[in-house]
Amino acid sequence: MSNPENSSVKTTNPSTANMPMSRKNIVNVNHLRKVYGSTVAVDDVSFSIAEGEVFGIIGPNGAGKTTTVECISGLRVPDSGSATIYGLSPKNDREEVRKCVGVQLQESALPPRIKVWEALDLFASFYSNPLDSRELLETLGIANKRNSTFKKLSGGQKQRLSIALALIGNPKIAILDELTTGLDPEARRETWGLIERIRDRGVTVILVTHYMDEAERLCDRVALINRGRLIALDTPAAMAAREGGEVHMQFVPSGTVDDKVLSALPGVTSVEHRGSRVVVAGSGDLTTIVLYALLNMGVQASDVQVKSGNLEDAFVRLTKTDDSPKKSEVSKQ
Amino acid sequence: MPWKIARKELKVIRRKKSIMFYTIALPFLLAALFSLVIRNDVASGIPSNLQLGAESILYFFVVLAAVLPSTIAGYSIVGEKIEKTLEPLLATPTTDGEILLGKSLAAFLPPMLSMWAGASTFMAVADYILRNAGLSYYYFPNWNAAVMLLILAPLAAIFSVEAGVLASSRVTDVRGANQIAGLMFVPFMAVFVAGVEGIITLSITTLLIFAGGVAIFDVGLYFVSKGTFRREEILTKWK
Repeated sequence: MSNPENSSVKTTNPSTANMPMSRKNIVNVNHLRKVYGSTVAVDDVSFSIAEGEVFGIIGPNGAGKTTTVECISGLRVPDSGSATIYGLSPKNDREEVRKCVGVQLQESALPPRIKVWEALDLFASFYSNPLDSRELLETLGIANKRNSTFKKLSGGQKQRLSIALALIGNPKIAILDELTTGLDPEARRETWGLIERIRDRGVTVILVTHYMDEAERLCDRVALINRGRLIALDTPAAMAAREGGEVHMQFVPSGTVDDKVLSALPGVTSVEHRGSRVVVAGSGDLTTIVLYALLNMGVQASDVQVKSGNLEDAFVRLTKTDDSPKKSEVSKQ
Repeated sequence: MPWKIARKELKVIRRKKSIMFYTIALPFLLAALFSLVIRNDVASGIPSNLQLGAESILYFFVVLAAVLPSTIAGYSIVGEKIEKTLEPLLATPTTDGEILLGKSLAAFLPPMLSMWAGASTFMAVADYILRNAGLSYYYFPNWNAAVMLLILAPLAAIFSVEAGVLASSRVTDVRGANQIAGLMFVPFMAVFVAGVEGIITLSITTLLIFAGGVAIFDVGLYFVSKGTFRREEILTKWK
Protein backbone atom coordinates (compact mmCIF):
# COMPACT_ATOMS: atom_id res chain seq x y z
CA MET A 1 0.00 0.00 0.00
CA SER A 2 1.44 3.34 -0.95
CA ASN A 3 1.77 5.90 1.74
CA PRO A 4 -0.17 8.96 0.73
CA GLU A 5 0.80 11.11 3.66
CA ASN A 6 1.51 14.63 2.55
CA SER A 7 5.16 15.63 2.53
CA SER A 8 4.36 18.89 4.34
CA VAL A 9 3.05 16.92 7.32
CA LYS A 10 5.47 16.92 10.23
CA THR A 11 6.53 13.39 11.10
CA THR A 12 9.59 11.68 12.53
CA ASN A 13 9.82 9.64 9.36
CA PRO A 14 7.63 10.85 6.55
CA SER A 15 7.35 7.44 4.96
CA THR A 16 6.02 5.63 8.00
CA ALA A 17 5.31 8.19 10.73
CA ASN A 18 6.10 5.53 13.32
CA MET A 19 3.39 3.25 12.02
CA PRO A 20 3.51 -0.22 13.55
CA MET A 21 5.29 -1.98 10.70
CA SER A 22 4.34 -5.53 11.67
CA ARG A 23 0.63 -4.82 11.23
CA LYS A 24 -1.31 -4.34 8.03
CA ASN A 25 -3.09 -1.11 7.22
CA ILE A 26 -6.83 -1.50 7.45
CA VAL A 27 -7.87 2.13 7.06
CA ASN A 28 -6.49 4.21 4.23
CA VAL A 29 -7.43 7.83 3.78
CA ASN A 30 -6.24 9.45 0.57
CA HIS A 31 -6.42 13.17 -0.14
CA LEU A 32 -9.78 13.47 1.57
CA ARG A 33 -11.65 16.72 0.98
CA LYS A 34 -15.04 17.81 2.25
CA VAL A 35 -16.65 21.18 1.66
CA TYR A 36 -19.77 22.62 3.31
CA GLY A 37 -21.00 25.54 1.25
CA SER A 38 -18.10 27.97 1.18
CA THR A 39 -16.20 26.31 4.03
CA VAL A 40 -13.58 23.66 3.43
CA ALA A 41 -13.98 21.36 6.44
CA VAL A 42 -11.36 18.79 5.41
CA ASP A 43 -8.66 19.56 2.91
CA ASP A 44 -6.34 16.97 1.37
CA VAL A 45 -6.06 14.78 4.45
CA SER A 46 -4.20 11.48 4.04
CA PHE A 47 -3.14 8.84 6.53
CA SER A 48 -3.26 5.10 7.17
CA ILE A 49 -4.22 3.19 10.29
CA ALA A 50 -2.79 -0.20 11.17
CA GLU A 51 -4.77 -3.09 12.61
CA GLY A 52 -4.94 -3.04 16.42
CA GLU A 53 -3.71 0.53 16.65
CA VAL A 54 -5.22 3.26 18.80
CA PHE A 55 -5.09 6.16 16.38
CA GLY A 56 -5.80 9.61 17.73
CA ILE A 57 -7.15 12.53 15.76
CA ILE A 58 -6.48 15.75 17.61
CA GLY A 59 -7.04 19.37 16.74
CA PRO A 60 -8.74 22.58 17.87
CA ASN A 61 -12.53 22.91 17.85
CA GLY A 62 -13.87 23.04 14.32
CA ALA A 63 -10.64 21.71 12.84
CA GLY A 64 -12.40 18.99 10.82
CA LYS A 65 -11.76 15.99 13.09
CA THR A 66 -15.36 14.82 13.28
CA THR A 67 -15.95 15.34 9.58
CA THR A 68 -12.87 13.21 8.85
CA VAL A 69 -14.08 10.27 10.93
CA GLU A 70 -17.62 10.62 9.62
CA CYS A 71 -16.23 10.31 6.09
CA ILE A 72 -14.32 7.20 7.19
CA SER A 73 -17.41 5.64 8.72
CA GLY A 74 -19.57 6.45 5.70
CA LEU A 75 -21.83 8.90 7.48
CA ARG A 76 -20.66 11.61 5.12
CA VAL A 77 -19.56 11.39 1.53
CA PRO A 78 -16.29 13.16 0.71
CA ASP A 79 -16.27 15.63 -2.18
CA SER A 80 -12.97 14.22 -3.41
CA GLY A 81 -10.32 11.80 -2.27
CA SER A 82 -11.21 8.52 -0.67
CA ALA A 83 -11.30 6.49 2.50
CA THR A 84 -11.23 2.71 2.54
CA ILE A 85 -11.76 0.24 5.37
CA TYR A 86 -10.44 -3.25 4.70
CA GLY A 87 -10.44 -2.19 1.06
CA LEU A 88 -14.15 -1.36 1.18
CA SER A 89 -15.51 2.04 0.26
CA PRO A 90 -17.77 3.58 2.94
CA LYS A 91 -19.70 5.23 0.14
CA ASN A 92 -20.27 2.23 -2.11
CA ASP A 93 -20.16 -0.60 0.44
CA ARG A 94 -21.98 1.21 3.23
CA GLU A 95 -23.71 -1.78 4.80
CA GLU A 96 -20.54 -3.90 4.74
CA VAL A 97 -18.46 -1.10 6.25
CA ARG A 98 -21.00 -0.50 9.01
CA LYS A 99 -20.84 -4.17 9.94
CA CYS A 100 -17.16 -3.87 10.81
CA VAL A 101 -17.17 -0.34 12.22
CA GLY A 102 -18.73 0.68 15.51
CA VAL A 103 -19.33 4.40 15.84
CA GLN A 104 -19.86 6.51 18.94
CA LEU A 105 -20.88 9.91 17.70
CA GLN A 106 -20.23 13.20 19.43
CA GLU A 107 -23.28 14.51 21.34
CA SER A 108 -25.61 11.72 20.27
CA ALA A 109 -28.22 10.44 22.69
CA LEU A 110 -30.91 7.82 23.17
CA PRO A 111 -34.60 8.29 23.90
CA PRO A 112 -34.74 9.37 27.58
CA ARG A 113 -36.99 6.53 28.70
CA ILE A 114 -35.37 3.66 26.84
CA LYS A 115 -33.82 1.14 29.20
CA VAL A 116 -30.19 0.13 28.92
CA TRP A 117 -31.01 -3.47 28.03
CA GLU A 118 -33.62 -2.37 25.48
CA ALA A 119 -31.11 -0.14 23.69
CA LEU A 120 -28.49 -2.88 23.63
CA ASP A 121 -30.97 -5.52 22.43
CA LEU A 122 -32.16 -3.20 19.67
CA PHE A 123 -28.67 -2.38 18.44
CA ALA A 124 -27.55 -6.03 18.77
CA SER A 125 -30.43 -7.02 16.50
CA PHE A 126 -28.92 -5.00 13.63
CA TYR A 127 -25.81 -7.20 13.46
CA SER A 128 -25.31 -10.81 12.45
CA ASN A 129 -22.69 -11.62 15.08
CA PRO A 130 -23.27 -9.34 18.05
CA LEU A 131 -21.50 -9.56 21.38
CA ASP A 132 -23.32 -10.81 24.44
CA SER A 133 -24.92 -7.69 25.90
CA ARG A 134 -24.72 -8.88 29.52
CA GLU A 135 -21.02 -9.65 29.15
CA LEU A 136 -20.42 -6.30 27.49
CA LEU A 137 -22.19 -4.41 30.26
CA GLU A 138 -20.15 -6.39 32.76
CA THR A 139 -16.92 -5.44 30.97
CA LEU A 140 -17.95 -1.79 30.87
CA GLY A 141 -18.95 -1.79 34.53
CA ILE A 142 -22.61 -0.90 34.09
CA ALA A 143 -24.20 -4.33 34.50
CA ASN A 144 -26.09 -3.02 37.54
CA LYS A 145 -27.67 -0.33 35.34
CA ARG A 146 -29.23 -2.82 32.95
CA ASN A 147 -32.78 -1.89 33.91
CA SER A 148 -32.17 1.83 34.28
CA THR A 149 -33.57 4.30 31.78
CA PHE A 150 -31.14 6.40 29.75
CA LYS A 151 -32.18 9.63 31.47
CA LYS A 152 -31.29 8.21 34.89
CA LEU A 153 -27.69 7.42 33.94
CA SER A 154 -24.86 9.72 34.98
CA GLY A 155 -22.65 11.34 32.33
CA GLY A 156 -20.02 8.64 32.74
CA GLN A 157 -22.59 5.86 32.55
CA LYS A 158 -24.09 7.37 29.40
CA GLN A 159 -20.64 7.40 27.84
CA ARG A 160 -20.13 3.77 28.83
CA LEU A 161 -23.45 2.90 27.24
CA SER A 162 -22.49 4.72 24.06
CA ILE A 163 -19.27 2.69 23.99
CA ALA A 164 -21.35 -0.45 24.52
CA LEU A 165 -23.58 0.48 21.58
CA ALA A 166 -20.52 1.12 19.41
CA LEU A 167 -19.12 -2.29 20.35
CA ILE A 168 -22.25 -4.45 20.48
CA GLY A 169 -21.95 -5.34 16.79
CA ASN A 170 -18.53 -6.89 17.49
CA PRO A 171 -16.73 -4.38 15.23
CA LYS A 172 -13.13 -4.61 14.11
CA ILE A 173 -12.84 -0.83 14.26
CA ALA A 174 -14.33 1.48 16.88
CA ILE A 175 -14.64 5.19 16.17
CA LEU A 176 -14.96 7.16 19.40
CA ASP A 177 -15.65 10.85 18.92
CA GLU A 178 -14.89 13.12 21.90
CA LEU A 179 -15.88 10.37 24.24
CA THR A 180 -14.74 12.02 27.44
CA THR A 181 -15.90 15.57 26.79
CA GLY A 182 -17.91 16.81 29.76
CA LEU A 183 -16.85 14.02 32.09
CA ASP A 184 -15.27 14.65 35.47
CA PRO A 185 -11.60 13.64 35.88
CA GLU A 186 -12.43 10.35 37.59
CA ALA A 187 -14.94 9.33 34.92
CA ARG A 188 -12.44 10.31 32.23
CA ARG A 189 -9.78 8.08 33.72
CA GLU A 190 -12.25 5.21 34.00
CA THR A 191 -13.17 5.71 30.34
CA TRP A 192 -9.49 5.59 29.41
CA GLY A 193 -9.29 2.22 31.13
CA LEU A 194 -12.23 1.05 29.03
CA ILE A 195 -10.56 2.16 25.81
CA GLU A 196 -7.45 0.22 26.79
CA ARG A 197 -9.61 -2.84 27.36
CA ILE A 198 -11.21 -2.36 23.94
CA ARG A 199 -7.72 -2.23 22.40
CA ASP A 200 -6.77 -5.37 24.31
CA ARG A 201 -9.69 -7.16 22.66
CA GLY A 202 -7.96 -6.53 19.32
CA VAL A 203 -10.24 -3.72 18.20
CA THR A 204 -8.63 -0.91 16.23
CA VAL A 205 -9.64 2.37 17.82
CA ILE A 206 -9.93 5.75 16.12
CA LEU A 207 -10.13 8.27 18.91
CA VAL A 208 -11.12 11.86 18.27
CA THR A 209 -10.20 14.11 21.15
CA HIS A 210 -9.03 17.57 22.06
CA TYR A 211 -7.60 16.40 25.37
CA MET A 212 -3.86 16.05 24.91
CA ASP A 213 -3.34 14.01 28.08
CA GLU A 214 -5.88 11.53 26.73
CA ALA A 215 -4.10 11.25 23.39
CA GLU A 216 -0.74 10.95 25.11
CA ARG A 217 -1.95 8.19 27.38
CA LEU A 218 -3.95 6.12 24.90
CA CYS A 219 -2.79 6.65 21.34
CA ASP A 220 -0.11 4.76 19.45
CA ARG A 221 -0.08 7.60 16.93
CA VAL A 222 -1.82 10.92 16.60
CA ALA A 223 -2.80 12.98 13.59
CA LEU A 224 -3.04 16.70 14.26
CA ILE A 225 -5.62 18.40 12.08
CA ASN A 226 -5.79 22.17 11.96
CA ARG A 227 -8.07 24.23 9.73
CA GLY A 228 -9.05 21.09 7.86
CA ARG A 229 -5.48 20.07 7.04
CA LEU A 230 -3.28 17.37 8.49
CA ILE A 231 -0.27 19.22 9.90
CA ALA A 232 1.46 16.54 11.97
CA LEU A 233 1.39 12.77 12.27
CA ASP A 234 3.50 10.84 14.73
CA THR A 235 3.61 8.99 18.01
CA PRO A 236 2.65 11.29 20.88
CA ALA A 237 6.14 10.95 22.37
CA ALA A 238 7.91 11.76 19.10
CA MET A 239 5.62 14.69 18.40
CA ALA A 240 6.15 16.05 21.90
CA ALA A 241 9.92 15.61 21.67
CA ARG A 242 10.14 17.24 18.27
CA GLU A 243 7.64 20.04 18.65
CA GLY A 244 7.13 20.32 22.40
CA GLY A 245 9.85 22.91 22.89
CA GLU A 246 12.72 23.07 25.33
CA VAL A 247 13.41 21.15 28.51
CA HIS A 248 13.28 23.34 31.62
CA MET A 249 15.37 22.29 34.61
CA GLN A 250 15.24 24.19 37.88
CA PHE A 251 17.05 23.64 41.16
CA VAL A 252 18.19 25.34 44.36
CA PRO A 253 22.02 25.51 44.39
CA SER A 254 24.03 25.04 47.62
CA GLY A 255 26.42 27.85 46.59
CA THR A 256 27.18 30.41 43.89
CA VAL A 257 26.65 29.21 40.35
CA ASP A 258 28.74 30.50 37.48
CA ASP A 259 26.13 31.31 34.83
CA LYS A 260 28.77 31.55 32.11
CA VAL A 261 29.79 27.93 32.66
CA LEU A 262 26.18 26.73 32.52
CA SER A 263 25.42 28.87 29.44
CA ALA A 264 28.38 27.37 27.63
CA LEU A 265 27.15 23.80 28.12
CA PRO A 266 25.97 22.00 24.94
CA GLY A 267 22.23 22.36 24.36
CA VAL A 268 21.72 25.09 26.97
CA THR A 269 19.88 28.12 25.59
CA SER A 270 19.29 30.22 28.71
CA VAL A 271 20.08 30.46 32.42
CA GLU A 272 17.86 32.49 34.74
CA HIS A 273 17.72 33.16 38.46
CA ARG A 274 14.30 33.22 40.09
CA GLY A 275 14.79 33.99 43.75
CA SER A 276 16.86 31.18 45.21
CA ARG A 277 16.20 28.97 42.19
CA VAL A 278 18.17 28.65 38.98
CA VAL A 279 16.25 27.81 35.80
CA VAL A 280 18.17 26.31 32.89
CA ALA A 281 16.45 25.89 29.52
CA GLY A 282 17.72 23.84 26.64
CA SER A 283 17.46 20.60 24.76
CA GLY A 284 19.00 17.15 24.73
CA ASP A 285 20.17 15.41 27.89
CA LEU A 286 20.07 18.66 29.85
CA THR A 287 19.71 17.21 33.34
CA THR A 288 22.80 15.02 33.22
CA ILE A 289 24.95 17.73 31.66
CA VAL A 290 23.92 20.43 34.17
CA LEU A 291 24.24 18.16 37.22
CA TYR A 292 27.70 17.09 36.04
CA ALA A 293 28.74 20.76 35.60
CA LEU A 294 27.44 21.63 39.06
CA LEU A 295 29.39 18.73 40.52
CA ASN A 296 32.56 20.08 38.88
CA MET A 297 31.80 23.50 40.43
CA GLY A 298 31.43 21.88 43.84
CA VAL A 299 27.81 22.96 44.01
CA GLN A 300 25.03 20.66 45.14
CA ALA A 301 21.58 20.95 43.61
CA SER A 302 18.48 20.31 45.68
CA ASP A 303 14.75 20.33 44.84
CA VAL A 304 15.55 19.52 41.21
CA GLN A 305 12.56 19.75 38.87
CA VAL A 306 12.65 18.91 35.17
CA LYS A 307 9.82 19.72 32.79
CA SER A 308 10.04 18.53 29.23
CA GLY A 309 7.77 19.57 26.39
CA ASN A 310 4.64 17.45 26.17
CA LEU A 311 2.02 16.84 23.51
CA GLU A 312 0.06 19.88 24.65
CA ASP A 313 3.11 22.09 24.10
CA ALA A 314 3.56 20.52 20.68
CA PHE A 315 -0.13 21.03 19.91
CA VAL A 316 -0.03 24.71 20.85
CA ARG A 317 3.18 25.29 18.97
CA LEU A 318 2.08 23.47 15.83
CA THR A 319 -1.35 25.08 15.65
CA LYS A 320 0.08 28.52 16.42
CA THR A 321 2.77 28.34 13.78
CA ASP A 322 0.58 26.63 11.20
CA ASP A 323 0.51 28.98 8.25
CA SER A 324 -2.18 27.15 6.29
CA PRO A 325 -5.00 29.50 5.33
CA LYS A 326 -8.13 29.69 7.44
CA LYS A 327 -11.02 27.56 6.24
CA SER A 328 -12.94 30.47 4.83
CA GLU A 329 -9.82 31.72 3.06
CA VAL A 330 -9.22 28.30 1.55
CA SER A 331 -12.66 28.36 0.05
CA LYS A 332 -11.91 31.60 -1.78
CA GLN A 333 -8.83 30.21 -3.44
CA MET B 1 -35.20 -5.22 10.70
CA PRO B 2 -38.05 -2.67 10.16
CA TRP B 3 -40.14 -4.46 12.79
CA LYS B 4 -37.29 -4.13 15.32
CA ILE B 5 -37.12 -0.39 14.67
CA ALA B 6 -40.91 -0.20 14.91
CA ARG B 7 -40.85 -1.99 18.28
CA LYS B 8 -38.35 0.51 19.61
CA GLU B 9 -40.45 3.38 18.26
CA LEU B 10 -43.58 1.93 19.84
CA LYS B 11 -41.82 1.72 23.18
CA VAL B 12 -40.82 5.37 22.90
CA ILE B 13 -44.28 6.47 21.77
CA ARG B 14 -45.98 4.44 24.51
CA ARG B 15 -44.17 6.60 27.03
CA LYS B 16 -45.29 9.87 25.41
CA LYS B 17 -48.48 10.32 27.40
CA SER B 18 -49.92 13.27 25.45
CA ILE B 19 -49.54 11.47 22.13
CA MET B 20 -51.06 8.26 23.51
CA PHE B 21 -53.98 10.11 25.12
CA TYR B 22 -54.76 11.90 21.85
CA THR B 23 -54.45 8.69 19.82
CA ILE B 24 -56.63 6.59 22.12
CA ALA B 25 -59.16 9.13 23.35
CA LEU B 26 -60.17 10.83 20.10
CA PRO B 27 -61.81 7.81 18.37
CA PHE B 28 -63.82 6.99 21.49
CA LEU B 29 -64.87 10.61 21.95
CA LEU B 30 -66.06 10.66 18.34
CA ALA B 31 -67.82 7.32 18.82
CA ALA B 32 -69.70 8.77 21.80
CA LEU B 33 -70.52 11.99 19.96
CA PHE B 34 -71.76 10.23 16.81
CA SER B 35 -73.82 7.82 18.90
CA LEU B 36 -75.61 10.83 20.40
CA VAL B 37 -76.21 12.16 16.87
CA ILE B 38 -77.75 8.84 15.81
CA ARG B 39 -79.87 8.75 18.97
CA ASN B 40 -81.11 12.25 18.27
CA ASP B 41 -81.88 11.43 14.62
CA VAL B 42 -84.00 8.38 15.45
CA ALA B 43 -85.92 10.01 18.33
CA SER B 44 -89.04 10.19 16.18
CA GLY B 45 -88.48 6.97 14.24
CA ILE B 46 -86.07 5.61 11.63
CA PRO B 47 -85.30 8.40 9.13
CA SER B 48 -85.64 7.80 5.41
CA ASN B 49 -82.06 8.93 4.74
CA LEU B 50 -80.58 6.51 7.29
CA GLN B 51 -77.96 5.19 4.88
CA LEU B 52 -76.66 8.65 4.02
CA GLY B 53 -76.53 9.70 7.67
CA ALA B 54 -75.03 6.56 9.19
CA GLU B 55 -72.44 6.02 6.50
CA SER B 56 -71.40 9.65 6.35
CA ILE B 57 -70.77 9.40 10.06
CA LEU B 58 -68.83 6.17 9.65
CA TYR B 59 -66.79 7.77 6.87
CA PHE B 60 -65.65 10.27 9.46
CA PHE B 61 -63.53 7.47 10.92
CA VAL B 62 -61.69 7.34 7.57
CA VAL B 63 -60.97 11.05 7.98
CA LEU B 64 -59.84 10.26 11.51
CA ALA B 65 -57.46 7.60 10.15
CA ALA B 66 -55.88 10.34 8.04
CA VAL B 67 -55.57 12.68 11.02
CA LEU B 68 -54.45 10.50 13.93
CA PRO B 69 -51.07 9.20 12.63
CA SER B 70 -49.82 12.70 11.85
CA THR B 71 -48.88 13.31 15.49
CA ILE B 72 -46.71 10.22 15.77
CA ALA B 73 -45.37 10.45 12.23
CA GLY B 74 -44.55 14.12 12.66
CA TYR B 75 -42.65 13.33 15.82
CA SER B 76 -40.94 10.23 14.42
CA ILE B 77 -37.97 11.91 12.81
CA VAL B 78 -38.03 15.55 13.80
CA GLY B 79 -38.50 14.60 17.46
CA GLU B 80 -35.40 12.46 17.23
CA LYS B 81 -33.58 15.30 15.52
CA ILE B 82 -34.20 17.49 18.52
CA GLU B 83 -33.32 14.84 21.06
CA LYS B 84 -30.26 13.78 18.99
CA THR B 85 -31.38 10.18 19.19
CA LEU B 86 -31.40 9.39 15.49
CA GLU B 87 -27.65 9.54 14.91
CA PRO B 88 -26.75 6.27 16.67
CA LEU B 89 -29.31 4.48 14.53
CA LEU B 90 -27.89 6.01 11.35
CA ALA B 91 -24.47 4.61 12.21
CA THR B 92 -25.75 1.01 12.21
CA PRO B 93 -26.05 -1.25 9.14
CA THR B 94 -29.75 -0.41 8.77
CA THR B 95 -30.81 0.95 5.40
CA ASP B 96 -32.79 4.15 4.88
CA GLY B 97 -35.78 2.09 3.70
CA GLU B 98 -35.69 -0.03 6.86
CA ILE B 99 -35.57 3.03 9.12
CA LEU B 100 -38.46 4.69 7.28
CA LEU B 101 -40.52 1.51 7.18
CA GLY B 102 -39.94 0.89 10.88
CA LYS B 103 -40.97 4.41 11.79
CA SER B 104 -43.97 4.24 9.48
CA LEU B 105 -45.15 0.96 11.06
CA ALA B 106 -44.93 2.52 14.52
CA ALA B 107 -46.89 5.56 13.39
CA PHE B 108 -49.48 3.39 11.61
CA LEU B 109 -50.36 0.69 14.13
CA PRO B 110 -51.53 2.56 17.27
CA PRO B 111 -53.84 5.00 15.41
CA MET B 112 -55.29 2.21 13.27
CA LEU B 113 -56.02 -0.03 16.24
CA SER B 114 -57.49 2.89 18.12
CA MET B 115 -59.59 3.99 15.14
CA TRP B 116 -60.91 0.44 14.60
CA ALA B 117 -61.81 0.20 18.28
CA GLY B 118 -63.62 3.56 18.15
CA ALA B 119 -65.45 2.69 14.93
CA SER B 120 -66.46 -0.73 16.28
CA THR B 121 -67.80 0.90 19.43
CA PHE B 122 -69.77 3.37 17.35
CA MET B 123 -71.22 0.60 15.13
CA ALA B 124 -72.25 -1.49 18.13
CA VAL B 125 -73.92 1.45 19.90
CA ALA B 126 -75.57 2.63 16.66
CA ASP B 127 -76.97 -0.86 16.05
CA TYR B 128 -78.35 -0.94 19.58
CA ILE B 129 -80.01 2.48 19.15
CA LEU B 130 -81.40 1.61 15.72
CA ARG B 131 -82.83 -1.74 16.88
CA ASN B 132 -84.48 -0.02 19.83
CA ALA B 133 -85.89 2.57 17.43
CA GLY B 134 -87.59 -0.16 15.45
CA LEU B 135 -85.10 -1.20 12.76
CA SER B 136 -85.63 -4.88 12.10
CA TYR B 137 -82.03 -5.78 11.30
CA TYR B 138 -78.51 -4.89 12.39
CA TYR B 139 -77.42 -2.01 10.18
CA PHE B 140 -73.70 -2.50 10.91
CA PRO B 141 -71.49 -4.07 9.81
CA ASN B 142 -72.16 -3.86 6.10
CA TRP B 143 -70.05 -3.93 2.91
CA ASN B 144 -69.67 -0.16 2.80
CA ALA B 145 -68.35 -0.18 6.34
CA ALA B 146 -65.95 -3.00 5.44
CA VAL B 147 -64.54 -1.09 2.48
CA MET B 148 -64.27 2.11 4.52
CA LEU B 149 -62.66 0.62 7.59
CA LEU B 150 -60.63 -2.25 6.16
CA ILE B 151 -59.44 -0.79 2.85
CA LEU B 152 -59.82 2.97 2.69
CA ALA B 153 -58.95 3.81 6.31
CA PRO B 154 -55.62 1.90 6.31
CA LEU B 155 -54.70 3.52 2.99
CA ALA B 156 -55.61 6.94 4.44
CA ALA B 157 -53.48 6.21 7.50
CA ILE B 158 -50.54 5.16 5.31
CA PHE B 159 -50.96 8.38 3.32
CA SER B 160 -50.86 10.41 6.52
CA VAL B 161 -47.91 8.45 7.95
CA GLU B 162 -45.81 8.86 4.82
CA ALA B 163 -46.64 12.55 4.55
CA GLY B 164 -45.75 12.94 8.23
CA VAL B 165 -42.45 11.11 7.91
CA LEU B 166 -41.66 13.09 4.76
CA ALA B 167 -42.51 16.42 6.43
CA SER B 168 -40.67 15.33 9.55
CA SER B 169 -37.46 14.69 7.66
CA ARG B 170 -37.59 18.08 5.95
CA VAL B 171 -38.51 20.49 8.76
CA THR B 172 -36.75 21.30 12.00
CA ASP B 173 -39.52 21.33 14.61
CA VAL B 174 -42.28 18.93 15.60
CA ARG B 175 -45.07 21.50 15.25
CA GLY B 176 -44.09 22.25 11.66
CA ALA B 177 -44.13 18.55 10.81
CA ASN B 178 -47.49 18.07 12.53
CA GLN B 179 -49.02 21.02 10.74
CA ILE B 180 -47.92 19.79 7.32
CA ALA B 181 -48.92 16.19 8.05
CA GLY B 182 -52.20 17.38 9.55
CA LEU B 183 -53.20 18.79 6.15
CA MET B 184 -53.37 15.27 4.74
CA PHE B 185 -56.95 14.92 5.97
CA VAL B 186 -58.07 17.56 3.42
CA PRO B 187 -58.65 15.22 0.41
CA PHE B 188 -60.55 12.79 2.64
CA MET B 189 -62.63 15.60 4.08
CA ALA B 190 -63.35 16.82 0.55
CA VAL B 191 -64.81 13.40 -0.33
CA PHE B 192 -66.89 13.52 2.86
CA VAL B 193 -68.31 16.93 1.99
CA ALA B 194 -68.98 15.81 -1.59
CA GLY B 195 -70.87 12.79 -0.20
CA VAL B 196 -72.95 14.85 2.23
CA GLU B 197 -73.70 17.43 -0.45
CA GLY B 198 -74.84 14.69 -2.80
CA ILE B 199 -72.15 15.42 -5.39
CA ILE B 200 -71.02 11.81 -5.09
CA THR B 201 -72.53 8.80 -3.38
CA LEU B 202 -70.37 6.93 -0.90
CA SER B 203 -71.09 3.64 -2.65
CA ILE B 204 -68.74 0.68 -2.64
CA THR B 205 -67.63 1.49 -6.20
CA THR B 206 -66.89 5.14 -5.35
CA LEU B 207 -65.02 4.13 -2.23
CA LEU B 208 -62.96 1.52 -4.10
CA ILE B 209 -62.04 3.97 -6.86
CA PHE B 210 -60.99 6.52 -4.25
CA ALA B 211 -59.05 3.81 -2.38
CA GLY B 212 -57.23 2.91 -5.62
CA GLY B 213 -56.19 6.53 -6.07
CA VAL B 214 -54.96 6.79 -2.48
CA ALA B 215 -53.01 3.52 -2.89
CA ILE B 216 -51.19 4.97 -5.91
CA PHE B 217 -50.32 8.09 -3.89
CA ASP B 218 -49.14 5.90 -1.01
CA VAL B 219 -46.67 4.03 -3.21
CA GLY B 220 -45.46 7.28 -4.74
CA LEU B 221 -45.03 8.96 -1.36
CA TYR B 222 -42.99 6.00 -0.05
CA PHE B 223 -40.46 6.44 -2.82
CA VAL B 224 -40.41 10.23 -2.39
CA SER B 225 -39.83 9.81 1.38
CA LYS B 226 -37.05 7.31 0.76
CA GLY B 227 -35.47 9.54 -1.88
CA THR B 228 -35.50 12.61 0.35
CA PHE B 229 -34.27 10.88 3.52
CA ARG B 230 -30.59 11.80 3.45
CA ARG B 231 -28.45 10.57 6.31
CA GLU B 232 -25.68 13.00 5.59
CA GLU B 233 -28.07 15.96 5.64
CA ILE B 234 -29.50 14.76 8.93
CA LEU B 235 -26.05 14.66 10.48
CA THR B 236 -24.89 17.91 8.94
CA LYS B 237 -27.85 20.27 9.03
CA TRP B 238 -29.47 19.14 12.23
CA LYS B 239 -26.55 19.92 14.52
